This record gives sequence, structure tokens and C-alpha cells, in this order.
Amino acid sequence: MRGTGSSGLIGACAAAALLVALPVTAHAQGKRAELEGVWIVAGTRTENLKLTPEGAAARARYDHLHDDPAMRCIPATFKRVMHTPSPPIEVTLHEDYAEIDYEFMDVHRRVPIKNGLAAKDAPYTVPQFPHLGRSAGHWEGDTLVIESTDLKAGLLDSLGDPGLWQSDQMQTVERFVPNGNRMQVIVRMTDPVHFLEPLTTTFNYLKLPDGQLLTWDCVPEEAGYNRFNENAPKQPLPLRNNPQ
Amino acid sequence: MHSNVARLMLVMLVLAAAGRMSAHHSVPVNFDQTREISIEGVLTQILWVNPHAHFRIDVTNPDGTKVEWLVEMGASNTMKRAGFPMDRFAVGDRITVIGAPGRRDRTILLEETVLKDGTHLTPTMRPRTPNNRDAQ
Repeated sequence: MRGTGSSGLIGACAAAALLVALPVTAHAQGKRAELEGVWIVAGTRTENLKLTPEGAAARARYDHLHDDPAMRCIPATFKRVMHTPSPPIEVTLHEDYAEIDYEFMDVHRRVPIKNGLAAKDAPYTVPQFPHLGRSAGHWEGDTLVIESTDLKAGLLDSLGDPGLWQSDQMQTVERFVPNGNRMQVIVRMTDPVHFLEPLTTTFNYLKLPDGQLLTWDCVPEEAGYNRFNENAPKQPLPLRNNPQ
Repeated sequence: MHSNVARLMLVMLVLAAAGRMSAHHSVPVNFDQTREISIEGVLTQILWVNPHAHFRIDVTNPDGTKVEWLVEMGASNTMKRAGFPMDRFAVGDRITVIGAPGRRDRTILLEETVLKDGTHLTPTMRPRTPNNRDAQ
């Protein structure tokens, strides 16, 4: 730094004081920052759905009363969570991690953002629901890319594409693409047990101005359909598919 | 002006999302949306929960016997965002429920309700298009 004497010392002290006063976490800048906020899904599209014989057989056997983990307040996968039409999601970017909160089932996700970090070495992305796997993120330009692995075998979707299953070989890549008050989350799913080729689902989001997440507070006794049956047992129906 | 536009956009988005509830997997499985019925009774249970809020109401038959009906709705959070006035419902209130009959006896998907003071409400807080007219 140029300058000598008292003016230089004062300037240096002022700069140091300013650095101390700045918040510890720095949020994303520029176009990346457009990902931050509360979003509501405004349309989805699934492409390249090509089932293996095992995948087709599993889908044919699907019985939502027994196979949907939502009946026990368990989110099957992020694909399932994002297919839910009205509960919004919230993205908050920090210097080295992303927080993604999903109102549906109160899913709170944390994704470390670090070049070179493999998903298999990352912690469980939602500690409350370890079956949702491990996720690691990195930037490709202004797109946040999240790779996930260590997903547990079970139901992949019960809403947008009901009856699809996944094995423990499932790997996913989610791309969060900013575009002003719009965002696309493009999910590519690779599972050679159930799908002949990678499956892609695109979620189109719109930003909710002044949006706020509410608590979902799912109650297992009320999440199923037993109330439709006067003679239903008091306990939930036995789950053939229990990812937890 | 900008904040008013933003609020209007928010309302439209929430209403659109609420409308998509009809495509939810549980609705066609449990309810016949090609038909419409109307029941009147007294609220005995109110549960504003997710994913499906629901009531139980006691309906008095013409012969004087009472039977319990289950009234199903969408997610409580969705209705809250649409401005549905949950505080206007209390156990003991007499209400009319109009909607799709369930595939099981004495169940109904609420598409419109009429309060004791005559107020008409829909879960989306916007006018609805009635289903097939075979109101009972």
C-alpha cells in the first residue's frame, strides 16, 4: 500500500476495521445469487423414461397404499418432493455450502460446495433422512450442480411419475439453473437396474416474492388413507417399501 | 406499485398450485370427480393438517338417524396461503359441503362449503366450476 506516515496507518486501520465488521459468510454474487429465494414449481417434464424389465415389473406391482413412504411422513426422494405442486422450496447460498429447504415433509438439506469433493465423501445431505443420500456441489458457470450417491433402494416417485423405483445403484445429478425470477432444476437419474438409459425430469420454478416456508408437520396417523376405512386398523398399513 | 404486482403474482402462483391438487394421485383414487353431491351436517372434528386437511361431520338422515361423514381437503398449508379462513370453522357449527363423492361410503372431497351465515368458500378462494350435476 502506498502512503507512509499517519495517513497510511489510519487508512490501514480503517480497512482492517471494515474487514472485521463484514459478515463472516459471503453470499453468492452476480447471476448465481438469482438462485436464492423461495420458489414454487410451475411445471415439470420427464423425458427418456425407458424401463428395464425389472423396472417395468416393479412399476406394475406398485400399490400406493403399501409402497408410498409418504404414508409414514417419509419423503421418498428429491424427485418426489419437488413434484409436490404447492409447498415451496427455499435456496440459500453460502460461501461453501448451499441450504435447500423443502416445505414438503420439512426437508432441510445441506450441500457442501467444493471443487473436487466427491459425493461419496460428503455427509448425508439430510441427516434426518439418510436414505436421501450424500450430495456434493460445485459450480459450472452460474449453474449449481449437485451430485448425489448412496441413495437407498426404494420408491423413486409416487406423484409426478408414480410407481417408479430405484435401486441402490441410483446416482443423480441436479442442475440448478438461474434465470431471473425463474429457475430450472434439471435432474438426471442413472440407475441401470431400473432404467435402460438415464432418466431426466425438469422442474420449472417461479420465484415467490416475499415467499415464506411454513412448517409441514406431517402426522403419520393422518398421512395415510386409513380414515377412509371405518374398519381400518389403528396402526398404518404395513409398508412393503421402507427406506428407513 | 411494484409490491402490488408482486403480491398479485404470488396469489396467482399459489392458486395455480392449489388447482393442480386435482391431479394429485390420491384424489382420483379416492373420489369420483365426475359427480357432485351436497351434504349438510354438524362439525365434530376439524384437522388442519398436511398433506390433507379434513373434517368429520354428523349428518342427520331423513329418518332421524345420524351418520358420520369424512370431508377431505388438500394441504392445510396450501389453503392457508390461499387465504382460506380456517378460524371461521368450529366444532358444533352446521355447514354444507359440496364436492365429489368418495369411492368409499360417506366420504366427500370438499370443493365448496357454505357456512352457517351463508358464506360460500372454496379451498382456493376463487369461484369453482361445478362437477356433473347430480347433487343429492
